[in-house]
Amino acid sequence: MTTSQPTKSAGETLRGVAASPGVALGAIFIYTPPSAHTNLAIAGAAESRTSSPDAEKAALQQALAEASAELMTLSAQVSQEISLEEAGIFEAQAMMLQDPTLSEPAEQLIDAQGLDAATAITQAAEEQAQQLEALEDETLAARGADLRDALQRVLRLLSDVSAPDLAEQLAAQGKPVILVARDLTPSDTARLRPEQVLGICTALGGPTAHAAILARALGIPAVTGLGEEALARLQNGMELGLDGAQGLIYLLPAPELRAQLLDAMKQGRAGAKQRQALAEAWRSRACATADGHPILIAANIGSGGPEEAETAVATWGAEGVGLLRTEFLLSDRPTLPDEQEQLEQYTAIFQAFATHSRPGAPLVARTLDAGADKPLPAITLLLGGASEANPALGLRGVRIHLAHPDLLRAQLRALLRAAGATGVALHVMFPMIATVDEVRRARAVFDAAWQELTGEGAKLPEHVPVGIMVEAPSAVLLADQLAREADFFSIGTNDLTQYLLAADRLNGRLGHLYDARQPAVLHAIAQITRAARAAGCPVAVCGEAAGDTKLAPLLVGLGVEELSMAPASIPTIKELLSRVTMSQLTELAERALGLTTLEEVQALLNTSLPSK
Amino acid sequence: MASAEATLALLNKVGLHARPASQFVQTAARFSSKITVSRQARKANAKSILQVLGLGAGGGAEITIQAEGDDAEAALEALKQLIAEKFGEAE
Repeated sequence: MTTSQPTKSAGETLRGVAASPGVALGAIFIYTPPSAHTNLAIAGAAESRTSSPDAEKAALQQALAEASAELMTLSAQVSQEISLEEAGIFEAQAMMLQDPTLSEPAEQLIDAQGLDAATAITQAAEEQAQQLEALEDETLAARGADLRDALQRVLRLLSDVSAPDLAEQLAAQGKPVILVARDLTPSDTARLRPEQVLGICTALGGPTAHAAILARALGIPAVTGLGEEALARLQNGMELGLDGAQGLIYLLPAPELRAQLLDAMKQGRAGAKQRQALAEAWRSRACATADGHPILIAANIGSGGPEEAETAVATWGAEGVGLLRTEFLLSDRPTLPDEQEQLEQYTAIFQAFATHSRPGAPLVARTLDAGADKPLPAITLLLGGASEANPALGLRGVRIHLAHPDLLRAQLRALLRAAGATGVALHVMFPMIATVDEVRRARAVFDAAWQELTGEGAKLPEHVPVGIMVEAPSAVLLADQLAREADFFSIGTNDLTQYLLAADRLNGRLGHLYDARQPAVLHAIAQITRAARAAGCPVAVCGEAAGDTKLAPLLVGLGVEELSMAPASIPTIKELLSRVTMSQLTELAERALGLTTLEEVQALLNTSLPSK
Repeated sequence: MASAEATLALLNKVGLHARPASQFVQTAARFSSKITVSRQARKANAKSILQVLGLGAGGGAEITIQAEGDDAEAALEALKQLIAEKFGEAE
């Protein structure tokens, strides 16, 4: 691999999976976990022999017991601070180390071949791990990785001199860094602390990666699934910006972007304690303006599975889910999951949501919104392998579904069945709607699925509102017609901004254009809400802007009734809106609409809102 | 010395994976009897997490539990109970 030329990469943006919200800027530290071989080499010799099998067996038993104890302690810690589910991983690892199926073969190797403890346990563990991975089941393959993770812990205990573990390596850096790795084991991640790690970036790691869940719990911004190719371009010491909520990585950011990132990061890190307190205070309180207008504050979730749904409601106080991204179904797999598998996944998430929410809390599921711009093998297959010159303008969102209505039907059936089974107040929405015709066709598939299921005697919810994402400029212009076809609107400000200003959101040099505070975007939103109001169609916003402390009040002033955002932003937004009246917000919106430049809007928002 | 046996289907969604497997093994470990759990041709020591995971018994899978020892009946009952309660999971 050639060394990249910094000037070429400078200012470049890479996209991965949004794993844990927050912004970070710092020097890269690349972590390479010790391979089993390295640890053995350090332990003495590649395959060392011993003259004292009894001593080796005793040492092995001790190391296994100690490692087990460490894991149980870690499990208890994680169970308290993070979640029961995550704690289960470490408990399972502890049990594996206590399993005679592992230790007996290792002891036999010591006796029969005179191997030392480290070599013997490595061979025994490898064999068990491979057996697990040989089974077809994906979940079992993950247990193989867990066993290897546990093995590392044992090897570390067996050697007097061992490679410094991740925590030690980080401590040696002397300052907090952006941690970059191909992948991070649960063990590695569970011990990370914001004092040492500003952000995390990995090549691997799908939506339910434990590293992602743990990073969120620890409040460390993270982007996973960057891909090995992109990762190979990152070098130790290189400055990297990271936006965990968006899943974006900025290589060697330009001065202006750099300043923004630094600022946002400082605020984020300083705000962490405050956010905890706010979260406590607002967890069970619904949001309303100072003069009593309720605003539904909901969560954007999808990649974190049922745990994420649970945390969004139980920790961050989400009053609903305004966006369930269903693309998580596609990560790490070569083909699309069938209806049954989707049913299981949705049921798990809906159940977790329903358990912690008040009855009737809405959950809005967006049908598959994938396209060539997202590195998902299952979609590439669907697109016939051909790459698109302009993925943002290509076959994506509802377009794929209209080209493959059976897939849409399967997804809708699974969503409806899951909602019927769990009693969740499901809403469904279609992404990337550009014409009235598209809504009608997608809606027809929905109606047919509903009829089918009714005929089969399936348990279905009372009523499922069917809405659309408003993100294509054509949808803005057709808002009044679309408002008559759709049961609700959800404005995707991220894509809307990109398309309205014709500015690629991934192009670091267009930062000033790709900004939701641009007058054009505000006018578009006003147009949308006016049209929607006339047709009695509720409007939500589920883009980044919803969770922005400067923009959220403006959106409400423009007529938006629901804001859906990264869960961690929820308490702040609730608190903020509680301190202003609706008339203050509508006045703010009117003033903003009278301005002509981005700078003017920024100035208005910076000065006229009560500071926190 | 007593022995007891039962064949039953796993009712929970994930079957003998992840946390349910841990719970199964921990329950079995409480008893002195020798306990095996088999699925189709494959037999596993119910007190070994690695062997139980290795069965690959998913939701709905049929397994046979066999216990031999002084507390065989109690062991079998405890494991049957665990399965009937779906390991305490919602699904």
